[in-house]
Amino acid sequence: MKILRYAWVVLFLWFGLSQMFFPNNWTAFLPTWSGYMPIPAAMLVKLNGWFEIFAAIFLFLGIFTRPIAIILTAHLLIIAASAGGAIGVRDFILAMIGVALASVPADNWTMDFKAKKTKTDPTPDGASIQT
Amino acid sequence: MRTKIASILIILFILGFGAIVYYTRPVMNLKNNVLNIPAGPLASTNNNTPTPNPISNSPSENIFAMGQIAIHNNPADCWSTINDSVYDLTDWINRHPGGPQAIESLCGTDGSALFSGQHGRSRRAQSALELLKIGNLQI
Repeated sequence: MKILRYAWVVLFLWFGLSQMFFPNNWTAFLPTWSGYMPIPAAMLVKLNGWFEIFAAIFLFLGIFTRPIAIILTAHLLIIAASAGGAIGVRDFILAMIGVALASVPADNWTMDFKAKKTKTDPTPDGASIQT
Repeated sequence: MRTKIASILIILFILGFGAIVYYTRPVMNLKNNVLNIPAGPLASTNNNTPTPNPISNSPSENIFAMGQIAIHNNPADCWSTINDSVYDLTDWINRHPGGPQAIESLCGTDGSALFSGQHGRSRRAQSALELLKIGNLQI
């Protein structure tokens, strides 16, 4: 699970940074339905990139891992449905990583795991308190 | 600890979101293109010396003459005026749900009649254009 999570972090960081710094390379990929929101194309791409970067940071730190995995899965499925064809198939398969991440508890390198462990077992290293 | 980091990240996300919306509005590009604008909107009526526009980040402070809008009359550089507001529609041509032709026909012209004919007095359509606004028409 760690490998899948960090692979997804790299994926979304790369795409997010690329969209932030080179928005004009991405405007052609905007779906036609985005035209119902007359938001400038570059702005829409940058906002999407910003969202992906933050989602990647959350995933990297392992904060809200499962909810973020679900959100990113939905995000990728929307992209897959909009793009269609080979790109759509690729994004659909990538989205399945999110399904895998969301379907199991957060791994032991995440802050979610550490927070849960502290909550259920507040003593260091699980040592029982001697009275 | 986790909650604190999450809160900081969420606040940063919201601040960044706002900054992106503010700094990528079409009106922010005007300063870069100021030398391409031939004459000051109000100065040209009093003398023949072209003066650059005092471009502001606030669309309500930019006033353009119809002649200035008329030179932005192609799909690569498309301005239009609708109900006395001036819009940079370049970015939106290829994303218009009704097809690019409808927007291309507005480039460099007063599109009020066409816009009203298509969208009536739809407040939603009007407010949706707000992000594309770069100024007001000199009356």
